[in-house]
Amino acid sequence: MQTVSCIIPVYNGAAYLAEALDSILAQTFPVSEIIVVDDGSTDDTAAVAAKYAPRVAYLRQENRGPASARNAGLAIATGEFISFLDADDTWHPEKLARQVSALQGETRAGICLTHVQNVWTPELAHERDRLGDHPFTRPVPGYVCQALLARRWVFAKVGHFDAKLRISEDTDWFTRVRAAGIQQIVLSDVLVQRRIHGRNISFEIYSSQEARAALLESVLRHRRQQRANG
Amino acid sequence: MGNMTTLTMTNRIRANEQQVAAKVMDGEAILINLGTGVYYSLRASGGFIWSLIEREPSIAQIVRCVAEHYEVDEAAAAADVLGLCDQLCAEGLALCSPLAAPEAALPSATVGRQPYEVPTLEKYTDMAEMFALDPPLPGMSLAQRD
Repeated sequence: MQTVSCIIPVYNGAAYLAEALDSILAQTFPVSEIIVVDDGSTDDTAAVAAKYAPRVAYLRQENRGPASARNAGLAIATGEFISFLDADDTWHPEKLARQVSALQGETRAGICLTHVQNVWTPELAHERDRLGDHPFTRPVPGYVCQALLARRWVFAKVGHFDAKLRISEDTDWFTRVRAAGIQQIVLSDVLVQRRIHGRNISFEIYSSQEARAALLESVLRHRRQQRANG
Repeated sequence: MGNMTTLTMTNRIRANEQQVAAKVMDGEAILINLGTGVYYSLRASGGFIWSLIEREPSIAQIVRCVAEHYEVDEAAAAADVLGLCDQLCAEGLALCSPLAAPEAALPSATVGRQPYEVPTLEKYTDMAEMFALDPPLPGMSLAQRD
């Protein structure tokens, strides 16, 4: 049986963490380890994680951003496959089973992604209504960590997450995977629900000049590499 | 472009900061439309023009500044600058308004004029799927996707 590690970076995610963990524990393909990396939370994150011990390992670091937290989890993860979930999101029970099966069927592929559906909390129902049938409301290919299942060697080949990026660290990483020519599988199944609750870290990014700059530099590097490749 | 020239020399142009992340690095401007995931590159005179737009100038000012910095006459520069600015507005990257307040201060040329190439807005959709998940901030206007 293949072993799968799941890493959950969390910053003040007590409100939804239990739901995220329950969705991992409900997988039809069981994970071999779950690592919660508390990125300096000041809420009840530690207490929620403690209820799941010893099934769930808990690491704590000073707040350094999700990229750093993911890397801390990677440093101790032992699975042949690596996955991530954000503390505010949930997986469909079949998520890992279908991804493991897809990767087993295509041994050259390094990563497998699923489609992701945004879901709005009841407080943000008006935002959801305002969007109508905008593409944000429909399932999209999940180029985000919570939709990823990666073979371990992929991280050895393209490196870990860039800890200088406070956001878009996953976009940067997926860009490197693509640039390295690593084959990817994108399942059309919607197996991740991404909760929009108004305090998502990625919302804050857009107001942070520093984070925007890091994202832009990452895009520029990508563009120049594409140009160099002709 | 569906929306043909509506800009004139007396319009003022500015970056659409709510919707766009942009930065000029080594003379190349990278612009991401956060609503669509589409990103853009402006090189050479294009990068220079974007750095001017960040100061909210009038179109006439940009034209003068380009003619001062590059080996191009004002008439040719005017056509190119108007064309580029129209495109930037059509893509939702910039906003224009009538010139009301005094004009912005722009840098004057310090060295000789540089060789000129027509500024070109290069558009890339190869990462749009990677940016596609993030809805805009609550209250933010929505750009239509292509």
